[in-house]
Amino acid sequence: MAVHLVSPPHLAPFPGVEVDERAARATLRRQVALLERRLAALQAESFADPGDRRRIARRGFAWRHAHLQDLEALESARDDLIDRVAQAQVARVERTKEIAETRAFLEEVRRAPERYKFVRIPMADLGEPGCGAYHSRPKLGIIGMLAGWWHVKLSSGCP
Amino acid sequence: MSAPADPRAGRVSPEVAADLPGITLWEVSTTAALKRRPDPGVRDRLRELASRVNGAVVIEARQNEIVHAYRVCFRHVGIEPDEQPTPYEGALLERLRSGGFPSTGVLADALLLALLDTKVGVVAFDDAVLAGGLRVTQEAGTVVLADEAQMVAPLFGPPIPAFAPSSATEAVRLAAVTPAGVPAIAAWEALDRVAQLLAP
Repeated sequence: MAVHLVSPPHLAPFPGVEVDERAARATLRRQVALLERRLAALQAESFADPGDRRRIARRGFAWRHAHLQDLEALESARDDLIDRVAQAQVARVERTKEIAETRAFLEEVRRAPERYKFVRIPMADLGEPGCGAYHSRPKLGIIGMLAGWWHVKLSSGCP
Repeated sequence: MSAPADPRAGRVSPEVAADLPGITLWEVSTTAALKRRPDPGVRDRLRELASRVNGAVVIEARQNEIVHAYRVCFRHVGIEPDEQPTPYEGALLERLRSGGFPSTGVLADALLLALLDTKVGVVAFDDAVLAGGLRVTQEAGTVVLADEAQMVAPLFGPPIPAFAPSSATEAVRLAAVTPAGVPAIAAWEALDRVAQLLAP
């Protein structure tokens, strides 16, 4: 979704004209709300890696007090969100590319598992939920290893 | 009183209302029996809710309309919600950290259960120590919840210890501050849920 942003005027366009700061703050608050929604959607798409979610949970939180924000503070919040949305969009494109490359690699491993002995591809790297992994393993254990019989198995991975 | 009164809308100071349009304070007083063991049914319900929480739930929560409303309001008052989580997200993150929703007392369980069911945070005060009705206002540049005399809690934060209920408290004042976008019915349901669970 494209977000059309309107920067509130820092300076009056004409000398003597008063800037309606209240309206400007209301506009900025609306922009912050739109950007927050966009950022949340991008983050929901990107956080397929369980490691990221566990890192968030491990981080402690210090209590912060609420303050009414002046024009400058709202602009700063808006601009910060713009940057974060842009970063999240880049991250999503990169992740999509990584997932596609990993899926292509998985197909190669499936076609010739004996060439990728003991290779392990976690579900998270394929953009899939869950903690399982595709694993190139010998059929029938040591016999398969000696005979060159390999296959790809999906393990659940869950403890 | 055997049943809690209907929630009433509390006061929001004009400067706060102007900068945070739609912010609403709901409060209700109710009797409470806090000096007892938590209900096993509540413990079971917390355990059931804990089993449904995983990392994906935590991340997707921010797209829920009520959670989104809190996150936007947090940003509007200078709180980064990824550093100081909204009440509901805070509970989910604590679940990831600790592995469950442990039962920690009648009041804490009731507040947590109402939060998990409605996504609306409720704060409880000892009704006997409050001076008059509650209001959302500014004090020393900070947006706070206050009674007629002084600040009793930071906005969206826990009560100041002097105003928090104890095991001897017989009547509690429950309050929910909801930003624009949170339906009143969600706040009423949260307050009612807590009141029902605290009832003697």
